[in-house]
Amino acid sequence: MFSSIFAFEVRRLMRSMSTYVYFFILVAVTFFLALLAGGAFPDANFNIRGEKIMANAPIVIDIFFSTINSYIGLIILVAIVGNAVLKDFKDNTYTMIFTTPVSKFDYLSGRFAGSMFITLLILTGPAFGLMLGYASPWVNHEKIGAFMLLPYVSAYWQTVIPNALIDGAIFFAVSLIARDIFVIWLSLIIFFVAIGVSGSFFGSLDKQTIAALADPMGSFAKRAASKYWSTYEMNHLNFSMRGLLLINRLIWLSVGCVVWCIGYSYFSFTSSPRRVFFKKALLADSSKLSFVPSFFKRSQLPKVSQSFTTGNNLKSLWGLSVNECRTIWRNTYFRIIMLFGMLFLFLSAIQLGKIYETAIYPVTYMMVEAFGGTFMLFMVILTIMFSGEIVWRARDFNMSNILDSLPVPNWVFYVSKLIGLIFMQVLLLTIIMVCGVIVQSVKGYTHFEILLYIKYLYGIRLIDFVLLSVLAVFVQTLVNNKFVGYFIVGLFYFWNAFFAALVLKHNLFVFSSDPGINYSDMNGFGHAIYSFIVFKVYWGAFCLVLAALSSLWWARGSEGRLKLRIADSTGKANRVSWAVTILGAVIFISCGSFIYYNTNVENRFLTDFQTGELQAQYEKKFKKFEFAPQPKITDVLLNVDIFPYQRTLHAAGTFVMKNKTNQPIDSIHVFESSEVKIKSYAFSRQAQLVLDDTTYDYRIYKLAQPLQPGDSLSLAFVVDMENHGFTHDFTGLGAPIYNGTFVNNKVFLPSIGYNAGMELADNNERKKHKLGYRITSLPITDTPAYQYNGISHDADFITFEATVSTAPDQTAIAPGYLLREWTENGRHYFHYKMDSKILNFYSFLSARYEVKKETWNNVNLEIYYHKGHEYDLDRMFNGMKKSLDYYTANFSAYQHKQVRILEFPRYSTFAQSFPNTIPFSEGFGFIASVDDSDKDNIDYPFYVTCHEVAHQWFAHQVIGAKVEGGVILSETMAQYGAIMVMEKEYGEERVKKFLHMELDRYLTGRSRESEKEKPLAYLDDRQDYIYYRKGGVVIHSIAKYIGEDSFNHAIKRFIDRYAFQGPPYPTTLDFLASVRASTPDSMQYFITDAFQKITFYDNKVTDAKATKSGNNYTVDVTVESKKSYIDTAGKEIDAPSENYVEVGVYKDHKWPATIQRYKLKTGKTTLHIQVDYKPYKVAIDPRLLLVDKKLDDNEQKLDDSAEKKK
Amino acid sequence: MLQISGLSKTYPNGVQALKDINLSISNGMFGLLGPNGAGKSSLMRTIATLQDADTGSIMFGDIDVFKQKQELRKVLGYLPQEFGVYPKVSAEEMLHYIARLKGIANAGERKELVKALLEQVNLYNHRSKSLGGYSGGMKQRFGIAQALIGNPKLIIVDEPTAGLDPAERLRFNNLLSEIGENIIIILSTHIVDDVSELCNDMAIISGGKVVQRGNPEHLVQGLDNRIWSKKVKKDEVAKYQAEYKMVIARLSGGLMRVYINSESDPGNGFVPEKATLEDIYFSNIS
Repeated sequence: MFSSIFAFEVRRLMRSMSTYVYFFILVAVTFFLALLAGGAFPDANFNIRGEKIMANAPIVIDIFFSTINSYIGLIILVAIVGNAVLKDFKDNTYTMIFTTPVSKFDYLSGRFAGSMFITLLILTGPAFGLMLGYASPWVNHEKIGAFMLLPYVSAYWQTVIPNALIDGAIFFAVSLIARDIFVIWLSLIIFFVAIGVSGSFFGSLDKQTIAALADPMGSFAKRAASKYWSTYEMNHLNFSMRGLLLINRLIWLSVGCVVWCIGYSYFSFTSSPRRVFFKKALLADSSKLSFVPSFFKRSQLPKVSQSFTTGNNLKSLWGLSVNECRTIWRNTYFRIIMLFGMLFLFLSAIQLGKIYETAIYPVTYMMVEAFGGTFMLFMVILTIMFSGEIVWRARDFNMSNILDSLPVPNWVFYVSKLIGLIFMQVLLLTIIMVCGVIVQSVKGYTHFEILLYIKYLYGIRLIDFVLLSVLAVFVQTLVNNKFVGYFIVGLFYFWNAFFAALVLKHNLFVFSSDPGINYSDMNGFGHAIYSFIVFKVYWGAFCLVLAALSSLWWARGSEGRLKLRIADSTGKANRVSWAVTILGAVIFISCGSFIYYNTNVENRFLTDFQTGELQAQYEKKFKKFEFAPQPKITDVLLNVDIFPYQRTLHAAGTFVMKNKTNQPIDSIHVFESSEVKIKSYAFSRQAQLVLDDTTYDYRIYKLAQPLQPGDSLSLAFVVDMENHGFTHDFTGLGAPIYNGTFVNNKVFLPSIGYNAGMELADNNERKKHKLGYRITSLPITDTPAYQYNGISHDADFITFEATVSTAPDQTAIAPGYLLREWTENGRHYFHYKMDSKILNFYSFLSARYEVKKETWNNVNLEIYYHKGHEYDLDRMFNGMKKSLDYYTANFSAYQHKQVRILEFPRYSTFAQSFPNTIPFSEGFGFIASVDDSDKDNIDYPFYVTCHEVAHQWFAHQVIGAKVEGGVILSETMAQYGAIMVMEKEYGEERVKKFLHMELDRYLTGRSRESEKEKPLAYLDDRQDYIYYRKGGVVIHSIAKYIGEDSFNHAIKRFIDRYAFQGPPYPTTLDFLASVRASTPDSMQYFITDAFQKITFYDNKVTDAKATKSGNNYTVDVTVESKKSYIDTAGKEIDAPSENYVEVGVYKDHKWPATIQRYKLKTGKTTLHIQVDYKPYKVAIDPRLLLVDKKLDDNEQKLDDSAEKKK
Repeated sequence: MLQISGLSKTYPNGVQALKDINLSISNGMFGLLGPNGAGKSSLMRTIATLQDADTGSIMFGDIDVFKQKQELRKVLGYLPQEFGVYPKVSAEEMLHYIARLKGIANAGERKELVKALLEQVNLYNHRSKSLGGYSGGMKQRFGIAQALIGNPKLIIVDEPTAGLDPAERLRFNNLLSEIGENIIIILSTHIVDDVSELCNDMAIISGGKVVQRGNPEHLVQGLDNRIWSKKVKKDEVAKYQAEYKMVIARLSGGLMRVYINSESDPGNGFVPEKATLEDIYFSNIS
């Protein structure tokens, strides 16, 4: 019996057209993805896991195959498996089937197995789509590795089949219990909640395991497994079914199994269709008489007046809309969805906005944005789902016969449905607001900005949902099948959200697009709001056309054919609707033209490819001048006028330049950003403009008299930064904005000579533009490059003086000391002058600032902040003071008399150290909510401050030459300073937590390396995962291995030798020489390992026990240690050796009471450690001084064997 | 006056539902009689603006139904053959809703009308019950109540008695008969008695065509003295069918009684029968 039911189901589905359509769609979508990843569209940079990863690497295949099936496949599952039994109820065939002698088990399992079988066949579609795509002639063959079948097979059986079984079992069971397709959609949403919640926890190191297990799709388990994979591994390795992945699969398969069984036991042939909510029995007529005299008299009906005016139609619309809204509000499932939505929001609030696993204050914009993530996906799903339900409701409930013949114009029906949908969206957005306020109150944050909630949620976020609902209703109007409608809208949304911008490039073609909107406490929605509105009017007009057409073609009556409906809509009665359509089209076209004028005529619009081409041409034209001798800037005098409310800037100034070469210079090259308008250049000597490239604003002036070595000349210039209309993409920093301008000299001032920073750095990109391979950083042995420092090519140390003006209510700040502040002509002026020489790198900021001032040993400490952001000022001051303490005591004197921290809007989240001036992002420390009692919290406002203050030494006192490894001398050394100050302030245990996070980021970062990982001393400028992350871990361990004092002494000696020295600039090798001089012979290997090799340790405790003898204990511990190096090809090579490794014994779980260093050979070593306390656990490398990929086997708890004997 | 001329309709699957229908219907209750699948509902839905015909036109007074659907809807009351109800919505709410959509803007008037309607169709006691719980007869009474909202000039009642038990059917027809004059009521049914009980004008429709039309009584009169019947064995029916103009053969106590149409006494054991509308019906559809 089972087999015949199975076979029937399979045959039925094989005959169904939709089966093939689903399969084809999966093939088509993945085919497109394969083309995209394979580089078939030159503009679209679409890298799943870093550039070195092949488009058909096993891991990429796995991601595509399983993700497509987890989302699009899920809808197919609902449609097929969810309907396998449901259709018998829908078509009323159940009465026939249930009265046959088929057993419940055969019927249910046959239906389930049959529909599952076909679904699993359909879900192979992505494999074929990918294979076809990779094999097609359009892909870039360098992105495609050799064909392997195994990745497809593994992804299919490890992920696709189990996921389909899990989902299928759940949906099937739900369909048995609820017998309502709606509930299946509901369970789908709960599903996404589980995925969303596990996703929000994955970011936290401690919770990764939970997240990996909680995700029903298993993708986080796979991410956890592949986190530290190297490029080679990602290109070659398949996932193996073990560890977290295996446990995850087992857990969820059992969950699926249990749910299936629950559904099975719930189901019964005999009972009437059981809904979740029971149906009442039919009413019976009270009268039993066969003749009941009718009292009916039409004439006695009250007289009523009917009116069919527009005004009355509007009233009807109101009535209908209220009805639609009430229907949604009364929908039990919708209420359940709302509850789940709230649950989700509360769960995700735990991880809200964490940086370094440390919470932030739940400021309002954060609530809106963080809650926006996955919740927005629910809203999209619900909008799509309800658009179908609401359009089809009358037909589904067979009410359309009555309603369609009523004298109500189509538009009234249409608009009422739309209002119903919008009402639903408003309710969901209100949930965000309500949960936001609740979370804020629970966290003790009482600065409720209800108006901001309203603006952000109902003003900004709602628009996209309204546009989506118009689109979804339009699609549902056109199609004759609700599910086809869902599918089309879902597919379109998927395409539009992820790929339209990549392929179509201009926002004009991406539905519902805008240049981006960013909220900042400092700048509000700022200048973004204007272009946002224009874009939404544009798409609103588009949707007006869709709306008018929907209403014209509204399915009414028993015939659904679109052709007839379109033919029917041309009558005179529809003149108004057509007029609206035309009006919408006119607005759409004119608004589109206006956008085009702004983005492409007033401003420059370039696709990524065009931008690359521009850079490539620059290099091709001017690279030959790179080493043409040029004078270097020695003195800078500036007048900068910032007009924040006009978003313009006017700068006039003079550069004094000196020929520091040993040959005469006959021409001067002046380069300016093409975004800046050059008003005038004037040299102090006669000079003739011989080349004027207006595309790049690259000019060459020939001097009448060559500039002799040691001679100077000056360049006076006037430049303007103008603001025209709006741009295609949101631009935040780097140009004046209403409140919180932050620009540096590289953005708007001319520079001298060829600017290598303009070159295309990415070698894959270079190939596209026919440029040769370029090494990212010059070799460390390139001595001519020692003439240039890593920060500026056209200057060494300079003198600096600037007068800055701004709007009267703002404060403008530049490096230096304020000499005078005054108001003139309605402008607020500030005159700054630097007392000592600085690098040619300075910034200008302007905002409505509050100031807090403190002092440290006659150094003025100031923080300029946005009112309301007082939370972390004390931590920052503390950071300034503690770091000044440590750095002046251990490195050298501080060269300035002030340290200023300046807040800037959160368009970027970083802090940057200019001479005695530290711009610090509002999103990175100003709203941190550090819990000092929680040992897992990192006081990152403190840490970042220490890092930036350290730059006043490492960068502003000593700066490395512009060769590989140069960044070590600024960034890694700043990390060193910050970590040491943090260790003094917060203790070693907290620092270990920090190091663990940094180590994780290093290991994750190297697995995304686009070219080649290099040793610390030789790293490239772009390898931030090395110089910050690995750098911090390694440099801290050097201090521990050779001793903090010895190391600091080496640093001090290095600073003494190189501080404020012009060229030749030092390299890492010079620094290492100083370090090696302070390092005993036995530890020299450690310096080599740390700086000049890529070294990994694999340490573990394999066995440990403690024995009591008298009052003392002996800990017998077997540790295993292995060291390996990464060779030039990127492969890990074992390096048998003897190394110093620490072993620690803990008294409690916190921090080892005893740490001893042992010289361990590669392999196992048994140690006997005597302690005078009861040991709790033993650990190898307890302070995290060595780079070890697997830390969880580094310690073992000690069983008290001595106790047991008693 | 409802004027249907040259109405034809073929569905996408090739079924020709209406073939050149011409009817003119004046005030009063008009019966549209026909077997299942004859095209009754297609015709009714077409009049009720729910679908278009391929050719032909329907005029209701000055209203060209195909071109001025909205105008017709303003004067239309329609009780479809099948209609569902929204879950959790009561009869009262639903009537309010429909009254609202029929352009009765004044809430007070609406309320009064709904109350009167519910009382008159005898549903007042169940007004706040969910429609989903109504029995067949109650649901049809609700259906007629909603069709009557807004003073319709044209009422279309599509197979209202199908599926009702005899008592419910009686009660419903009783109600229908009271709806009154001065307007056109089109009642489609496959139950001959419905027409003979209620209608003064009728058409029989079969295979998409009007095969007979007129006043039921007149039609029956035309058959007076022409219907003859005889009890025969089952296996003899075919023989009689070939020999006579047979109207119908009915089971009768284990044997068959055949009814034939003959102007003169056919002899051969046939006895005269009183003509009924059913004879008209069967003469036309066979």
